[in-house]
Amino acid sequence: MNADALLYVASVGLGGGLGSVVRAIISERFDANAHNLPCGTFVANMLASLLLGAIYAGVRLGVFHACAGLFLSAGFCASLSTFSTLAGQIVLLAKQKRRRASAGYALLTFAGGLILFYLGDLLFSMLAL
Amino acid sequence: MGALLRYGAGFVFDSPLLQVLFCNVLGTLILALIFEASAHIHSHVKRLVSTGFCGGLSTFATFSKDSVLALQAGDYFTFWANAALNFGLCAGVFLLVNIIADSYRQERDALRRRRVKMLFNKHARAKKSDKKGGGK
Repeated sequence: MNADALLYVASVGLGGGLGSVVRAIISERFDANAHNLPCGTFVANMLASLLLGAIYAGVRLGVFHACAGLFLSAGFCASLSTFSTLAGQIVLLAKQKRRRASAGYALLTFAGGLILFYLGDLLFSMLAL
Repeated sequence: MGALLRYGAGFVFDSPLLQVLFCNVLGTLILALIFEASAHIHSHVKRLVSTGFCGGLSTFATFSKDSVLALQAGDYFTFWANAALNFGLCAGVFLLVNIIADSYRQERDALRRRRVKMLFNKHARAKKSDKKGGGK
């Protein structure tokens, strides 16, 4: 393994650790609420999509160094967002006979992720140019 | 650790779509196992594996990115197939583990009830014969 590859691996690992910690804090704070809806995971996923959109634009425009891009995108944003907890929450909501909440949560997360990624990309491109 | 494994999976799979799908399904599988076994696992270990490892391994933001890129390229088949496979497989895996664990628990409880009943009957018989012996 050469020095460059080691640097990339370190970037992804450090970013991933940081993203996981931030999501743990967010979901701890917001997931247990009166309506028993997983708001924390939703917020973390949306935030990560928006950030990843901006970072994707940054990497494409050459604003970030390759290492910084990896640290932020494959590391931080990818760890801040989660699919496993999302799938678990969808199934658990459906099992509690809360079909509408489950379907709404899935659709809202899916659509929100797409829109926010696009928005992040657009905003960063506009700001950088 | 999860993020590193996800990064490593990128070298195994040619397509980033497959990489994300694999990581998401694997992350969900591990999370489902942890969730079902949570009564036997210390809460710190549970948090380490579920939030730390599974959360780092599976990713939603990259999934959003791939979806938007497929849409922008006008590749609607990839977009829908990717979304359906990710949501369907992950929810399916979680549900499957849940169903298997439920049936296992039911069987275990039925076995326990049978054992308790057997012990109870044995005890009752012993008491009965004791009484008979005392009467004579």
